[in-house]
Amino acid sequence: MSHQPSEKKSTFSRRNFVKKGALGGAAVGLSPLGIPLVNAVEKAPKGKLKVGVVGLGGRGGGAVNDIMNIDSGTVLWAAGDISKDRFKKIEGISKKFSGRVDTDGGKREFVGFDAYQKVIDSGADIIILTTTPAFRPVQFEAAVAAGKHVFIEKPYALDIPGLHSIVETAKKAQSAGQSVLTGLVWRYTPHLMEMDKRLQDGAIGDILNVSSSYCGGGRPNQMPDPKFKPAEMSDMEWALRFWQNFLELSGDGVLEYHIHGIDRMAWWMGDQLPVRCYANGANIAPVKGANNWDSCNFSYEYADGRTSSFFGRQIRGTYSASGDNIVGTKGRAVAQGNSAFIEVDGKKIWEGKSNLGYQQEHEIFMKHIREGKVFNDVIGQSANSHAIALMGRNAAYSGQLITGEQIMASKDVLLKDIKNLTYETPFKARESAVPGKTKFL
Amino acid sequence: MIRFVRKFQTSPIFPFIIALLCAGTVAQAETAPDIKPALAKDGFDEEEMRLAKAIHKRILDYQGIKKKTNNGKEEELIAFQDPLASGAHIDMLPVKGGEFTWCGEEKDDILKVSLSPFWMSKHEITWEAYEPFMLSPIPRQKDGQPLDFMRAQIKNDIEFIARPTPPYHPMTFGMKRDGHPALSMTQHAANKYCQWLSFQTGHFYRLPTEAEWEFACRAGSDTNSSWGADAQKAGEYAWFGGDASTHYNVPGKKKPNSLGLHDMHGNVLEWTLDQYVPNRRKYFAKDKVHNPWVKATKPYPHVTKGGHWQQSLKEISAATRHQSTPVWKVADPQRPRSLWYHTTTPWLGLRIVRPAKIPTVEEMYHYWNSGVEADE
Repeated sequence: MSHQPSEKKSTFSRRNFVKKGALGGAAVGLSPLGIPLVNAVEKAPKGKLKVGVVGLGGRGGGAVNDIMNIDSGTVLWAAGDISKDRFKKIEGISKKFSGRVDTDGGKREFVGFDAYQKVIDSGADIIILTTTPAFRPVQFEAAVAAGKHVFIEKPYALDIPGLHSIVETAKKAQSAGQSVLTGLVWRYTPHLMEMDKRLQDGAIGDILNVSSSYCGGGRPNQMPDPKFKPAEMSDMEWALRFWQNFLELSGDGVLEYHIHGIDRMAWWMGDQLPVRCYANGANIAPVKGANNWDSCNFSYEYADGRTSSFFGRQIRGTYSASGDNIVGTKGRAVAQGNSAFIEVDGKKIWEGKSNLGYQQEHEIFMKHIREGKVFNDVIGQSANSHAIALMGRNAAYSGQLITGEQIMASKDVLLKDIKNLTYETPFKARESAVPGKTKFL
Repeated sequence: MIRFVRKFQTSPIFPFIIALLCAGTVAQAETAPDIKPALAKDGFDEEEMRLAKAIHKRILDYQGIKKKTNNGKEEELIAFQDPLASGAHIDMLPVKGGEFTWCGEEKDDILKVSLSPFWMSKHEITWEAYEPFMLSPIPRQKDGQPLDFMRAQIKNDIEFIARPTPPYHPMTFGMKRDGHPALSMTQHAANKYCQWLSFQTGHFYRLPTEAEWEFACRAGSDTNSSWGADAQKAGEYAWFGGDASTHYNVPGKKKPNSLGLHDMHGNVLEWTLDQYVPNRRKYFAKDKVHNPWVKATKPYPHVTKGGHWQQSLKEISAATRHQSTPVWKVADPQRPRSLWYHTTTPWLGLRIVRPAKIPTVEEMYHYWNSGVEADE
C-alpha cells in the first residue's frame, strides 16, 4: 500500500461502513429501495402488464425473454430500433410466448431514432432500454416522465453529466412510485448474493482490500478496417454499427464491459465513492479506427484509508477470466467466474456456484411491481459503480490523480445533443487518450 | 512427419499400425452412408452448395496431386499429421473398417453395424487448433456470415464459411488454455470447424457418427471401457472423478486405447453427428446397418460421447450416450441465443474424423450443414 498517494492515516472502523451508500445514502441489499408505498395495495397491478422494448439487439431480446419468462402476465406490446432488420426477432419471441406478442399487427413496431418516444407513448407499462448506451439518459428521462417502470441496461451513463441526469431521473421515478432496474447482473447472481450476506455477517471480519478483474477476448462488436466502409455509409452509421470501439458511444471498455467487475469491487467495498484514484491503461493491440483502450489498471483509496484495485483487459487471444479477491481481517473470500468460496484460517468454510442472475434480476423487479413496491438499484448502488468506473477511466486517460469531488464535478460531455442525433449527424472520433497529455475536463 | 512416425515406433501400438499398413490401400467400392432421401426436402442452399462444390474440388485436386507424386498409388490408411495454416497440427490415426454389435439403452436395441475405414484424430481438438477458427479475422453477423457490405471485397472463399462471433465470456471458464481441449462449441460450430479445416487442408473432415465414435472407442473391446472390465485400471486411461475433480486436462497424458486414441473416455465430452433417438434398432428398422447416421431434424438432443472430467466412471463408458440440451445455453443472456457457444459447459469438446473414401458434394453438404442449428 506504500504506493498509494495517501495523505491520511488508515482509520477504518467497524463493518458498518459497508452499509453506507455514496450517492444516495440508501441501504444496500437485495432491494435497495424496496419501500412499500402507502397505497401499495391499490397500486399493485393485477392483470396484464405491457412491455415496450427500445433496442432489439441481443440484450433487448434477452431482457424481453427474461421478463416474459418470469411474469406470465406480461405481453410484448411495442418495440423500437433504428434498424428494420432487427424486427425479425419478434417472430421468434411470438413463437416462444404464444399469444403474448401484441404489437397491433406490427403497428407498434417503430423504426428510427425517434422510435423510443413512440414506444413510450404506445401505452406500455414497462420500458426496456437496451440501445447503444449513449442514448440511455435521454430515453430514461422520457420513459420516467411518462410514468413507466424501466429496465436500463448497463452502462447507462458514459460521462458525469450523463450520470447526474440518470440519478435525477431515478429520484423522480422513486418519488413517483416507478421501479427501475439496472442490468448489472452479478448483483443478482445467487451464489454472490449468498456470499454478500455472509460477508455482511462478518464471515471474514472487516473487509480491508478488494482486487477485482474482468478480462475477456476482443470486443464482441468487432470492427473491420475502416477501408471497408462503403462510400454511401455515413460516419455516424459506421460508428453506431461498431459502437463498442468508440468512446463517444460506449464510454470505453471501462463502461461497456469492465463495469461488471468494477460493480462487484464496489459491492464488496460497501458501495462508497473512493476519495482518490490513480490509474493507467492503453491501447496495447489497437483496432484500426477505434479510440477505445483495451487495457486498464485502476487503484482506488477510500475515505477510511482502505484500498481496492481493478484490472481489465479486452484483447483477442489473451487469458480471460473474471473474479475478485476480498481480504478481510479474519479471512478471505474469492469469486472466480461462476463459483466463489470463503476461507478462514486456511479452511474453506463456504463454497457456492451459480449462473449469472439474468432471470433473478427480473424476478426481483417484477415482484416489486406486482406488489406495488418500488424497486430502484440506481441510487446508492449502480450509480456509484458508474461513478467509480468513470473515475478510473478519467484518471487513466489523463494520467492524473482524481479525487471523488473532482470526478463528480466533471463537465466533459462525450457526445452533444444526443436527442437530435441521426445518421446524418457528423461524427469524428476523439483521438485515443494519451496519459499526461489528455486533459481531465 | 518423420519425427512423428519415429515417435510412433516406440509406442506399444506400433505393431498394430504395421498390421494396418500391410492391409493395403483403401477399398474404393464403398456404399454411401444411410442418408435418408428426405434430407434435401427444402432443397440445397445455393451459397452453401457453391462452397461445398468448391471444397470438394479442392479435395479431389489435392488427392490427384498426391497420387501423381506417389507414382500413381492411392493414399494408404496410415497415421499422418495434418498441419494447419496457424502452425498448429492435428495427428490422425487410422481406424480400419469393420463390424461390431451396437447395444442401446433399451433391451431390444441391438444392431449389427459395419463401418468403412476412416482416420480419427488421436486427441481431442485443442485450443491451438480450434481458436484460429473461433476468432475470425473479420467481423461476423450472428449467423457467422461476413457483413453484407464487405462481401464484395472478400476474395477467398474460406471467409464465406460461417464462423463464430467473438465470445462474450472466457470460454476456458477460468481454467488453463494452452494445450487443453477447445471447449463449449455448439454442434453447429463443430460442423463448420470441420468444413473450415477441410478447405484449408484439402482433406475432408467431419464429426464422427455415433457408431464410428463407439467403434473407435471400443477398439475391439466389448466391455464398458476399452481397457477391459477392471475398474481399478480406469485412472491409467481416463480423466474423470465426479464433482470432486476441478478441471479438464491436456489430452494424451493418459494411456491410449489399442488404436492409439487418447482420452476417448473422460476429459471432455465429444460431439457426434447423430441426433439422439432412444432406440436405434427401431429407428433404422433393420438388424444390420452400414455407416449409420441419424440425421438431425431438430436442434436437440444430439448424441455426445465419452463423458467428461466431472463425471463418474459409469458415465464415461463406451456405450453411455449423453444428450445435448438447450440448458447448455442457459447462461446466454442474448436472444436469439448464440449459434456458436454453449455457455455452461466447461467439459464439452470435439474430435474429428476423415473418412477414407471422399464423399460426394451432396454428402459433404449434409455433414457440414445440419439445418437445425438455431435454438428458437
